[in-house]
Amino acid sequence: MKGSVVTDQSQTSADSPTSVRELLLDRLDGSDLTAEARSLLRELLPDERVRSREGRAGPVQLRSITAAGWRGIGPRTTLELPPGPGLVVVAGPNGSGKSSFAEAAETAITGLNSRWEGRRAGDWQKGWRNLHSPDVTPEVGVELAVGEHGEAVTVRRSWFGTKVGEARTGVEGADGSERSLGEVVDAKALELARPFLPYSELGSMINGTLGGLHDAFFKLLGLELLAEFDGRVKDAVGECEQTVKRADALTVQLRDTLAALDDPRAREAAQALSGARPDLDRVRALLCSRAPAAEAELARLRQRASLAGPDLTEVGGAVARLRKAAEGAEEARYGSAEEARRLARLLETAIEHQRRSGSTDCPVCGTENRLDRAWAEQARAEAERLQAEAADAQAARQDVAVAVRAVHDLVQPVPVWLRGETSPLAAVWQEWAQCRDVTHPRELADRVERAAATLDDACRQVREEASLRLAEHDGAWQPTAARLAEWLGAAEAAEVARERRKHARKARSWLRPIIDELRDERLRPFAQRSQEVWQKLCEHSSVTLGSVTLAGTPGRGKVELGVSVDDMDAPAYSVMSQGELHSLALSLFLPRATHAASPFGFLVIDDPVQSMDPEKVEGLARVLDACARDRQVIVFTHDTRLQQAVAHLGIKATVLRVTRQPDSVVGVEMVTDPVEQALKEARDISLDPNLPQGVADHVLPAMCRVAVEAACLETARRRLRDERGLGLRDVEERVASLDRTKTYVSLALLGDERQHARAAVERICTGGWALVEAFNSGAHAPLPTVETRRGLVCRTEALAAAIRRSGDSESVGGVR
Amino acid sequence: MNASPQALVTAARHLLLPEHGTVHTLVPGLRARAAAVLLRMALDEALDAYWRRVTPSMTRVGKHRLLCLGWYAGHETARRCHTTWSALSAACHYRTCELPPAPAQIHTRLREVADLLTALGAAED
Repeated sequence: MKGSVVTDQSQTSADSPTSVRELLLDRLDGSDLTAEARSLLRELLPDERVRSREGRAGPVQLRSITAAGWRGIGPRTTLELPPGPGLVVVAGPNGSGKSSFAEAAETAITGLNSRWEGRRAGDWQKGWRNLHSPDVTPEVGVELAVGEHGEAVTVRRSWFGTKVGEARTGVEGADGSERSLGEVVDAKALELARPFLPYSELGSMINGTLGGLHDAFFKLLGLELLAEFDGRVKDAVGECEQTVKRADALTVQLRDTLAALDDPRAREAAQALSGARPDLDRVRALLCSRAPAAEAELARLRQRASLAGPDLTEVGGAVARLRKAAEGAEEARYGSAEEARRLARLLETAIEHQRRSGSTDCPVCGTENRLDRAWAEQARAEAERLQAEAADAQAARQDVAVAVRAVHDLVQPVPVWLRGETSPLAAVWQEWAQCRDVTHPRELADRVERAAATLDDACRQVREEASLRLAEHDGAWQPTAARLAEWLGAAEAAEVARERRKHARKARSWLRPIIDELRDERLRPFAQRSQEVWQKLCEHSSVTLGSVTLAGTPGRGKVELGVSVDDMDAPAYSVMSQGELHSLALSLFLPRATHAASPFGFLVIDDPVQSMDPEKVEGLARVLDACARDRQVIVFTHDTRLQQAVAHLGIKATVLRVTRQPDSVVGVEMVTDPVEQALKEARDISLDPNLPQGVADHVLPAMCRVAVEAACLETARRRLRDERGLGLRDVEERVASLDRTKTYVSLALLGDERQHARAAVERICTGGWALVEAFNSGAHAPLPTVETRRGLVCRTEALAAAIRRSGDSESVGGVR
Repeated sequence: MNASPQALVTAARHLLLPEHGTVHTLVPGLRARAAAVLLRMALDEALDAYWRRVTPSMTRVGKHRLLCLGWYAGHETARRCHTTWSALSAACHYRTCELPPAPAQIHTRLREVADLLTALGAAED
């Protein structure tokens, strides 16, 4: 064991020098893309996702697996596992319940069982419960060693109903405190680096789950960023295309509408739109010029449409009255009201004089007796007539003045909006307005009559025209203009989008090979490991596993396997035997599950041996042995071939056997473990009477030392974990530093390899220290006879047993 | 037994890969089994020679010889000897209900045996 522990590697990979994002930015800077395409890519490049490691538990190992009332297991049974990394083979005949343990571990930790998914899931879901023990509460559980201190945490899933889903998972810390599963087991890591390979997946991986495997690899390799980036660039191209498409569709629609419209602006717009590339500037100008001016124009039109000219009947009446008054005034003028009044005054004065003087002589001409009574009466009458005549003339003049004013009042001034215009209407109105300055009644009457008629005519014309124009405006152009404005917006966006699309397409075609390259680069170590595993498993197969590559993007991707038979390319599943398919599944499973970033210090593999030929089993044992250097590898198997291979290859392993008595009473017994393996070899050798003494002296103490050291390793691991609270990594560091037998014993018994263990050894095994010292120095008493040899082995057995007992009162691999 | 391990391996190779034009009366499965017998003999010879060099009176129990070998020839060589010997042993036994070994399978063992002869220092004999 070289101390290459899970977590060492995980740290180096977590601090990998360059992230995918930085690599991409680097490439981007060195690319020959246009500045626009580059800035587009920079804009789309997703931010680095910070993988929070806080709250995540450290490495997780299995201490034991427990099941009750579960599948093939009736009464509660626990499968104890040795501490630390190493290979554990759980053997048992078909139906003994070993797969039930494998599934119990998976179900307890993941809450799921891969058999419950996919085909025949219904049957599996019904048959999960053990039929022989209706009184046992179904339960599966694992005891874990978690984190930096190897804390004992129990995860237990128990069922309260009859359905598979009617279960709850409880997590309990070493001190009995309740914990959440999430803080003990990283759910995401569980999904990514699944440490379980159930039998059902061995066979189906190639057919079924290559897509899922692809996605898992993608995430494992930190390639999600690539996938997201690729998706974003693709979306950018898509969005641009959408925008352009929408503008094009609008153009077609608008062309039809404009063609159907009889309006100069519509014609202009139609022209602007008719080219291969619509003339946006022209449309913009058309819409712009229309917008404010058209409003004024509309206002003007509306004004004109409601234009009111002179009221002809009123004007007519006023003019007639004026004429009549003027006529009356003219008659009165001929009678001269002034003269009549003067004459009347003269007569009245003469009459007054006559009355006062009493003389009948005329004071003016001197004629005597002319001014008699008769004259006086006549003169009075004449004076009265003259007075009346004068009053009449006055009234006529008054009448004319009133009539003129009335006519003047009817004449409206030129409306404000018409002033300054030089239109015919303005001239006519001017004429009309000028009538106010005319005072001569007859002239006034004539001009007003004429002007009113002309103006009325002009007003009616203007009104009608304006109304017509207004109707045109509101009916057809107005909505079209609105659509034209909408089109313009879309077309402008499309113009931008077209430009962007050009860059985005360039960027995308630049990006694709780089993504593939980075992906393959990241995948290469995995692919190599897969190939290595494959080579070990299928050394003699005519089928070779060439490249392992990822194709496509997550969700639609798959793992592509370059499989060839006798150097001819072939699809994986058609050329492989079942054993080879299983080997391939293992080749893909192991690199993923043993990925450096995986927090799981264990693998659970259910029956990989089936349908493998002897060489493959040998290869498998080698592969598992390699994995077991820094992980707990728990393999369930139904036959003895893996055990045999382990024995022939001298692989250190703990072998447990599961037996099933009637009524699902399942027992677990330990068959062998590294200590027992070494002791058995020593025992066998010691009993051979034909073994020369030289060989025995050389070999037997070495074998015994291996056994003692193995016992020390196991005990030390357990003690450091359980008593010193050390995590997997620290334990393995300490263990790796051991060199001499004495340090092994010190670490195992005292938890400190630097202390002297003599007293501790003698306390648990009298005479043991002499043995330890002999192992340490390599100086043993000669072993001439079988008796002496057996004695050595017996003492070794006793010492090993005492060391193991000191570490744990519970026996490993037994039923608790 | 006086054939050298090298000669036995060569004989096994001829059985497995007959020269062009040779007519064999044996079916490939039987030839493979025969080759396995020859190869196991070669490995035994080589081990005998190895142990003769270590001690004149090494035990004849094959398993014990293999178990002890690791402490003399190195554990890797011992493992490979053990595995190969077991595999050949399984292949050269005739069992009614078992299929004869595949020639390709035995051919790989042949390469392994040739390697082991070198490792055990029997190649020069």
